[in-house]
Amino acid sequence: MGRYLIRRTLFLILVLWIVSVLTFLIFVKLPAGDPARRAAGTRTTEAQVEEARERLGLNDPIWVQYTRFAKGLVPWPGWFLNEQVYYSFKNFVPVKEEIFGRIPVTITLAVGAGATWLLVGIPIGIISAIRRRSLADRAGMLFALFGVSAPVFWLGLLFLYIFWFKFQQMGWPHAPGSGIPTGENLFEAVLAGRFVMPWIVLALSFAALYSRMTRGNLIETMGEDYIRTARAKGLSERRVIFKHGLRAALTPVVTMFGMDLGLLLGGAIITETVFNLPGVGQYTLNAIKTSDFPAVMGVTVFAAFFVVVANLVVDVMYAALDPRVRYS
Amino acid sequence: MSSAAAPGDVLDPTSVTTAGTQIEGRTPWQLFWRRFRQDKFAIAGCVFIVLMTLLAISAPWIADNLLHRGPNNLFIYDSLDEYGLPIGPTFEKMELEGELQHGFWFGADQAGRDLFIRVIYGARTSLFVALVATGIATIIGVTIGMIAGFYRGKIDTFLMRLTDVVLSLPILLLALGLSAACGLQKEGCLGGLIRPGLLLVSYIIGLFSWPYIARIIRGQVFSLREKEFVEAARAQGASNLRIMTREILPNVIAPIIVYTTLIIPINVIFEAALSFLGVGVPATTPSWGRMLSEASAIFEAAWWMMFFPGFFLFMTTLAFNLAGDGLRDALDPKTAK
Amino acid sequence: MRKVIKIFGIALAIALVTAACGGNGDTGTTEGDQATEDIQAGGTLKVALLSDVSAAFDPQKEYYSTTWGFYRCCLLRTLVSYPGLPGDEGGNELVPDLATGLPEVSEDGLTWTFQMKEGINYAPPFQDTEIVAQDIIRALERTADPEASANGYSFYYSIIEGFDEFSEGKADEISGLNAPDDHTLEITLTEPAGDLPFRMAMHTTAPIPEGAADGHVRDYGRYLVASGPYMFEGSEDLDFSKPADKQDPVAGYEPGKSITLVRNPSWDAETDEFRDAYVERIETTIGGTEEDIANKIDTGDIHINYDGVPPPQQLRKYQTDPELKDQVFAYPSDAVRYISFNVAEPPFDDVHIRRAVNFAIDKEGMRRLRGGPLFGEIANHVILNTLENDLNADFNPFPSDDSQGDPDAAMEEIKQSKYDTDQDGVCDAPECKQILAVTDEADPYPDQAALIQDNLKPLGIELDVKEFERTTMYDKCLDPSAHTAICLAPGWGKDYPDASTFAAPLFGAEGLGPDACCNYSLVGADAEYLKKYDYEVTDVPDVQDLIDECTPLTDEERIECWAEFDRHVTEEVVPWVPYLFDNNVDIVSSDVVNYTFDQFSGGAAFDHFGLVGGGEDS
Repeated sequence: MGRYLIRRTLFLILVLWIVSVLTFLIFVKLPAGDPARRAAGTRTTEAQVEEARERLGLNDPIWVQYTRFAKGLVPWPGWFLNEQVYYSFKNFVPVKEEIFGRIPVTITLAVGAGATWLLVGIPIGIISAIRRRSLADRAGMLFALFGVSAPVFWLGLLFLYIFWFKFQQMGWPHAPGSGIPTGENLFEAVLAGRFVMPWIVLALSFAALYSRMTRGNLIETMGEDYIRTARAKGLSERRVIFKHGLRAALTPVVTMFGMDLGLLLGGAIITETVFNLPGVGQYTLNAIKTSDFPAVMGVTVFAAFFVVVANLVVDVMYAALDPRVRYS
Repeated sequence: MSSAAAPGDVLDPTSVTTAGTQIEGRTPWQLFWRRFRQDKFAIAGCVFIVLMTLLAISAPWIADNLLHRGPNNLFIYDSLDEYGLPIGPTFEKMELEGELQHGFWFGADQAGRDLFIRVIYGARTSLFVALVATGIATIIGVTIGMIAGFYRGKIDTFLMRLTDVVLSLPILLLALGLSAACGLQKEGCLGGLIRPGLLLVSYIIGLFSWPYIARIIRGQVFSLREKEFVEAARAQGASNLRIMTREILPNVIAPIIVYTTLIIPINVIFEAALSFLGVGVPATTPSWGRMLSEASAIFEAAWWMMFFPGFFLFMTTLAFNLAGDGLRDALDPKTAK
Repeated sequence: MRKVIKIFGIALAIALVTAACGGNGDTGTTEGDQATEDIQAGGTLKVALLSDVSAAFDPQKEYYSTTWGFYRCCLLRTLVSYPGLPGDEGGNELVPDLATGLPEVSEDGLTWTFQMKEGINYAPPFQDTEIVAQDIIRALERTADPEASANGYSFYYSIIEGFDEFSEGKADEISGLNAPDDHTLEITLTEPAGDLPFRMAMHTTAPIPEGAADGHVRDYGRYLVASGPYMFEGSEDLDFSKPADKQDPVAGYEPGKSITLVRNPSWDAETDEFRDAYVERIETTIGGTEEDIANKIDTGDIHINYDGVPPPQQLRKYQTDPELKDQVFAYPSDAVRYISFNVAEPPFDDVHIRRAVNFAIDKEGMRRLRGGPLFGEIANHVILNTLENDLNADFNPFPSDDSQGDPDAAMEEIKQSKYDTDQDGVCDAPECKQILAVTDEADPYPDQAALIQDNLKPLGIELDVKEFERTTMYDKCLDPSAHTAICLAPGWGKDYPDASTFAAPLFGAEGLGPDACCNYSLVGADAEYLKKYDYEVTDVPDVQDLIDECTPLTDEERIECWAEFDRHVTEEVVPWVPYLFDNNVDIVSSDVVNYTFDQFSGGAAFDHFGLVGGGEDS
């Protein structure tokens, strides 16, 4: 297992490296125009642009520039997202600070949504699988189909319209609007229910996917020999399903959950935009639009980092959960 | 990640299609059709897709001959009040620039344009991008999947690692970056090689959505290449290329169709998302995602601006999902409901 | 997503101005005293900002009217400042702030002397430090430091003797700045500049206490030591004794999220003639949409949207309901909105095409897309009517019924163009297709762009519109190498009340990009400049002579000269389609009393805001 993990780790480092190269090329080299001028801003003299070019090291050979940038991605004190490079020249705030200041919001959003979709998706999947072709199964799968088809940004607007605006207009108890008001900390915002709609909206399509996945896996597992053996031993159906069937059926679900969560922790751009949550995703979008490349590079690789770590965790968990996996 | 687990496969992990298993007697297509036509949801999906496509194709005709206005015609004085608030859906005839015309069936948008026309033109955009992007993804995916599955060994390892890498990329982020870098200047990027427009968005989406297909096809080819008919062809001295294109490809058509159908809705949403975030198709091209983004500033007063584009987007993805599910179930009865 | 401009680019390169300041006696205006008695102090003012300030409150980097508004009302005092009132109540006139009066100038106009008030201290943690003349010098030295100062503030101050030498590192101090004692500042100039007091009202000159900005070249804004009636919450916890990189930034400003201002305990109303500072606390939330904020204004959760415009449904509601109508405020923001042609880029190098576009544009429609008549008066020429004593109020060289555009007149112009080869009134040359147009991605600019495209299409002129985030948009319009043919979303505000601020920076060679600002139309570019940036056109209109002619004049003559200049530019040069003399429109929650408009920043003046019952019920 040790060797397997080392190999996996090396592979993930390779992924991070590729992401960093791609990001560097896409965000720094691809856009037309002079990066130094982009950095120095409008109404600057040639001298100031030159000064910015010097300061940003844009005269150096491209690999030197890349190395400087890549150094900030190594989790090492003094290197990681260091302020020499990772410093927004649009609003003059260190990228690290922005990310660390915003990550609690994103974590709250992602984890809450994750819990929601597991709690909704898996039971629906199980019920559908156990009662195949029943009304419950059909309803469940219809829900799943709707869920995967509804885009988050539309659902978000729809929810805001109905549960906040319309309910408020009717004088009914209603959901809070979007955003977190000043003076309210994250904990208070959660208590005030400001995350409820974002959680539900973000979770819906995942819940749909997970219910389909659970159902499919469970049906497949229940056809396996060892389940038949368990049944033959005279175990109760409930015991067969929950003790033996679910374990194998849920293993891939767990892995997928890790991956999806990792992806979301890098910033749920759309949900954060629709509900105006000050998370990493909102920062990312803004950075891209203002071509604030230190910020974009930092945030993209940060997101990739989460995906990669999630990958690794998933690998380990998968190995622990499913004895059939061999580390070859 | 180990490809056996296929954890990143968000399409539908419930099944690994095995098109090789066929019952004797009827042709596979007959079997398929018998099963498929019993799936009412799938038929409904297909009907909707056909209708949507017809509507998209005939959009310019409807605009010119029926409604006499295009998606970019503004009716500021007829469809906005003095504060700039648009009128809602109406089927009554109304006076437009001095002539009695059909009303705005879906209401007007914040610039006084006919939302109905914009929505059906939006269908053109969505379907075009989704089809081109999916086409690109399919070509890349099938090629890579075939090569990996056929040659195995180091080539396979390399290609599958490549697939894993692409699956691990923060796709939305990179797509946003590419669109922003290439879509916003006249000269495009890479020295004018990539120009802004609908095709750019299609390329970007296609570039990121091929790994699903590659994986599926590789799995298929992996087992197919051991089959007798492949052995026979090889014994006759057929080249690898010939075996791949003449013997194996026809046998993976079914899964290709299924998974192509299933990534279309993903790509439809992808395009809408990019446009919603403001880096998608160019401004004058009506797009559902962009319409939703415009609606987000005003939807409480003008619900129709949020409802109609979203509803059509939703119905289109739903229809493709229904059709794709139906196709899969019909081609592979093991997973049927 | 309905962000709206507060005019961003304001004149940088100032023409030498003689008038404007001199002996205007009515300074130290105290506003409506009868209102003062009714307003109970106290409460928390809740403000919404759609987007964050531009440079994290660093006074040497912020070139953004929203931040200027915060500085003026609340955070920073300068030698002289503005009273936070509308233009017709004295909002354009300087009042002494840290100074005891307006400065005295020597006979030759080269030496200016400011006398400062005594006994004014900084906000915590510098509550024991008095504000002295040396602190103003420190601020100007920081302005001269190219790394600390962005956006070219130095343009304003390079007339100070020794400023440029200090900036280039050739001198240890700015020789033209002297503090003979703690409360006297002498400024020596290299050439006379009558508008120096206006320059000294900019917040880049606000005093910085010794040691505060050290080590904060990039981020002083987050360690800002206030002098005004408010400060960032948690300012008292700033610890300047630690090394700069170990210090924590102030808690009251979370970039991109919130700004919390609290009372500055050092501020003494006795020393401040014009700031009322009724409210106890100002909480600003950053982000959200205008619609969302509008709802919160209805419910009283937010009192005012500081950088956005009211969405149409809110406007309709408040305008049509007599009970709500008095919560709507519209004031001229002394700015013009226009479409700018690049006169060196085909097809707009042809004056007939430019004239045709002027005829074709539906200005009334442009205004309705912004929200209707409340948002301003339709503009038919370049310079504000208020700066010309209404001499050009009826001047309209491109008239149309109800200002909705005249396509027939436009076609007549097109017929005379070299780009209309068959003279049928429709431009048929390839130059008229795929014309690069640049606009702002925020509402309502994309809609206005759609209207412009719709107006121009019958003329055969087809625009390829690219949308950008605002600052990028301005960059693209300014950069001559981008070859932007037409810029759809600029706005221009005055720096101070003189027509000259509408001339040189906009139509003079000194305003040409990319180094300077804001001559997007390239009027006055010489052959060398055009060649350098790959323009095929070698000759473009030039109005430098006219500018030079008007600049030295004074009084009536001066105004008439600029009015003549305005007519010439609008009708003969035609670099623009001016369409709106802009109003700032605010809708405030019913809890707000004494809404006041600040002509200087073009937005609300929070120092005069009060809350019903001192904010007791909220």
